[in-house]
Amino acid sequence: MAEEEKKKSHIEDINRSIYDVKDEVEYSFKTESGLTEKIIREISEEKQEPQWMLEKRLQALETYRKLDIPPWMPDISELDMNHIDTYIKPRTDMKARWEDLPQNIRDTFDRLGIPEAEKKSLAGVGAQYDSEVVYHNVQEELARQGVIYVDFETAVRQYGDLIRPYFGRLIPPSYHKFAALHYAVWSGGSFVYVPKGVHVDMPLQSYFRLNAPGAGQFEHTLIIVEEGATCHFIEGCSAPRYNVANLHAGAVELFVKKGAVLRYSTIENWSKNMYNLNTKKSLVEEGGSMIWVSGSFGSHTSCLYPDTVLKGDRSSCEFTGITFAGKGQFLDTGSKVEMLGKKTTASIHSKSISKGGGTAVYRGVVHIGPQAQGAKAAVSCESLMLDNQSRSDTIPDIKIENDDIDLGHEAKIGRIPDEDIYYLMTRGLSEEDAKAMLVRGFAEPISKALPLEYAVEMNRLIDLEFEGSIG
Amino acid sequence: MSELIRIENLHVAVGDKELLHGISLTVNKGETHVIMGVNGAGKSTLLHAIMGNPAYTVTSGKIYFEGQDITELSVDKRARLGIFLSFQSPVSVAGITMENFIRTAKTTVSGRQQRLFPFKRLMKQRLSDLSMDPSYAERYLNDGFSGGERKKSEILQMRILDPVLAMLDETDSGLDVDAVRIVSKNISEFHNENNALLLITHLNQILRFIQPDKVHILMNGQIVQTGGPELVEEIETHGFDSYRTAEGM
Amino acid sequence: MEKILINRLPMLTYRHLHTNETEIAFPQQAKTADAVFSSLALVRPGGSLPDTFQGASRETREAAAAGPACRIDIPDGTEQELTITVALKEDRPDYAGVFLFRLGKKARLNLTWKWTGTGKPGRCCTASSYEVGEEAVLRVSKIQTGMENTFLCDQRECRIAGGGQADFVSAELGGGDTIVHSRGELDGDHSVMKESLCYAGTGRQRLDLFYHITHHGKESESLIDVRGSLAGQSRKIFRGTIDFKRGCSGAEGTEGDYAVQLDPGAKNISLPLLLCTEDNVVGNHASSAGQLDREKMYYLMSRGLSPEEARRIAVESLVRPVIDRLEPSLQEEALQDIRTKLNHKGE
Repeated sequence: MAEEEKKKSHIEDINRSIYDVKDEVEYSFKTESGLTEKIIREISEEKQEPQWMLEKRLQALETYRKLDIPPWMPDISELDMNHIDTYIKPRTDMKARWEDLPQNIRDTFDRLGIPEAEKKSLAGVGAQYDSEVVYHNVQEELARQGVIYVDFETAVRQYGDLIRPYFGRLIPPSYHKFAALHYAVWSGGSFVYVPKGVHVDMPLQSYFRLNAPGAGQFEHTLIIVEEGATCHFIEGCSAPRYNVANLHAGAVELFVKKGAVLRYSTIENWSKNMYNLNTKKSLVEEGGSMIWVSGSFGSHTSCLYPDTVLKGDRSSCEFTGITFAGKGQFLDTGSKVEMLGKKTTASIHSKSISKGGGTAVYRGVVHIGPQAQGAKAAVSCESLMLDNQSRSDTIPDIKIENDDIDLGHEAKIGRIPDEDIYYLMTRGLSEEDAKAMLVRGFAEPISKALPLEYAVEMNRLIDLEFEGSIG
Repeated sequence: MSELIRIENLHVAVGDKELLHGISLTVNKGETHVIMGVNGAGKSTLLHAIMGNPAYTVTSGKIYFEGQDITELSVDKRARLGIFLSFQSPVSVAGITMENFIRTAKTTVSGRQQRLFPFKRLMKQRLSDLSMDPSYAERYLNDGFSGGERKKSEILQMRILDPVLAMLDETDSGLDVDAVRIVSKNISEFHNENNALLLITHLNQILRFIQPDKVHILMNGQIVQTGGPELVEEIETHGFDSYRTAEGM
Repeated sequence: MEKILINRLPMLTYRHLHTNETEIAFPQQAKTADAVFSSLALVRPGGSLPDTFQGASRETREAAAAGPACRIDIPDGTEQELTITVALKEDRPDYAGVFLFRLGKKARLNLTWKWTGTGKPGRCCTASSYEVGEEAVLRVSKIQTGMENTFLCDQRECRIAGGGQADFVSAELGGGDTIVHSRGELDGDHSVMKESLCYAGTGRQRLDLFYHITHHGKESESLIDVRGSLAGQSRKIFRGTIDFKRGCSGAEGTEGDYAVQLDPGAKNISLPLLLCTEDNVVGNHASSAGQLDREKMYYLMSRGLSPEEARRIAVESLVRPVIDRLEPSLQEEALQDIRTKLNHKGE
């Protein structure tokens, strides 16, 4: 057995030291734990929301109470909603200059490399700390072209008429229990509006940091990319480790209009006490294209399946995802595509790595509707098992309702082939180095698609993860 | 000599991209024509357009076969008129034997039921003409065939189906010297005053055995030069460079 | 008519597509036909299903168990052939029964199932348990044709000891609702289970195919290979699972689901699952769906074949790998039936 153990790859877990720094922060407002109508009214009042939003919240609470937990979900019985703080407001208002933030909050984002990345390669940045956005800024040039990039509270107050028809349209509270929860207690998030024909060349990045123990984060992100416009949005998430469960139940609604292109990249690195039950959905119109790049590294339990509705003819989507499940993690991730328009195309590439008793599940859907003549879809799922204490499941669901289509699906499960290790060892690498190199090779096509050059955090993450073992 | 196929100002596109920009060409019965040109010049496109490949759209121009306008005709109907294309990379069909397939094709093309035993004899003869083992009759269509075997399989089909216009797309590439000789011999035996050959070749190997009547140089989707067998030698010595210059490239 | 839920996935997924299980009308049973054995020497009446037997659903399992049961034991080291024929009649359009097969050490059984019948509505539920001993070899060939208004439910569970092999090859060509529920437990090291199936759905035929092969033994091997065409309003649901359990080091499992859709009204659902708690395995899944390969059709038509002939040849080519593995005496019948069905496609 000891011999067996020794043979296993020494790919290290992610070095979490930079994420695990806990801040001592004073909070100006904090709701009681749990979920009651009283708490929801308090949140709404604190935010000075219009009445329609309060009503939406209360309706969502009703829906939340009615819905069951989907039977296929990973076990979340340790998550007790009565002990989650749904709303925690840090003691600061939103700033447009990093210098104006309280020192400890500023230090956190400095450590994560966000202000530095903003200077170098981002067109705009939003930073959320627990329940509220504390920093938001967008390049003046973009603002002049009519690009809106603001925190969601500001959006509700200033752009209510623009937002209202879109808010909750793609992901209604009835979508599932945690979507309902989201609408009841949502706070923070970003709103992006890119007017017709405008190209936002540099990415916009929103960073979500959950600092308080036992807290929930429920940000709402809404992006509208108008006809012929393009935009790249990056979402980063992290939190320090606590012994109590934290909950993240965000909602992301994306509208890609005719001929528009939206690229949405996520690096999720929540701490291992986090339940990440996040919902993302995109609606793509004629000739539009949606590109998802998704890295799931952190959290205790994740359920995340970006959903794309290809409504318009010739619309397309690409999904590239990697999931790394280490000790104690249950990462249930994947993608959903609903192909409704003619000649729509979807291409899905998913890779997962399971290690040290972790569980990685790929769960996906490709649904080709009766009107989607000429639709083409290609799915590939590769799962790498690094030891026999871990688990890896592939659960695809393919439903085809017309004959003029072309679908290919491939899935592979296994470990690093011995021949490959042997080959590298014949060139002088140690067994561990060979394995580490092969794991990096496995992840390479996806790490290449991640916007590494834009966020220092992501750079560190990938490097630490796959290079940790090479001395 | 009577006209077999006449192509008039043919424009062909794949999707939005036009690949042939007005080709005109006439091949008479008894003739052998060769089309030469660099990769991507449009040689295969032309043959597929004549065969009626639905992936290629004729955007304007006409194709007449024995006086009949076939521009809109489906592939199988063209085959039944006696047009044959030897594919550069033939597909394989597992589960269907060569004999079963060619017999079915021969029945449709000739319009006559092929009786089993005479057909078996014909098959055996043609296989032996190509120095192929009789056991190929029972192999699945092109399945697991090497590049050279596939080319021979195409020529086998040509000989049995006995078309009026045989178009051969780089039949000589991927064959060793002996195989080129055998294949060429079969093509010569097939050729007579009532049929015609339209060849694409890259390596000119086959032209050591088959004497063309006309040679066409295709560049960027257009015929830039037509001449006699002497053109082949010229290309062999000087390459296509002079035509590139002529095209202002 | 009573509605029941069948062929539930071993690992559930989203509910909104309603693909976790199938709701289906379960007809009543009236008069049953007989199963005819080619030799009665091996067959002993009696016996009951193992307690662990699951089947497509409780209702279909109980329906089968309500019929007559028999045991077929193949002694150690012996080799046997057996054909079981069920021919449904106008006045006896139903069937129910339990078959308990046990192959001793190094025993061999070549088993052939033939099912035929008329268009008279009926219901057939069978439950078969196969115990394959050490180094024993079980080969099962099944063909079913006709019975276009029959509810057919074939439930089988197979347990295989070290070095044992079970190879199921089926041509599921007939039936109105055709349900297959197959489970395999690869208990022993070097055990092998293969499931190959071909179909040619036409009219309103519905195929609901469930496979779950679990690898326990080291270097065990599994294959699920399902191929066919869907014409008219026919539909196919494939739920295949290869399940690698911790300790099945060196195991290999492959599943493939290949469908061609010939008409706009056909529906095709595929849920190919790979579950894994052992690292030293090779698990593969490939599936494809769509129309016939355009290039292949063009090639065949360039040799003069009409679109219909080209389609027949392309479909035959797709299902051929399964047909070729059927017992030789069944191959021609299966091919003929597919040709006939394709000529009347969609009716």
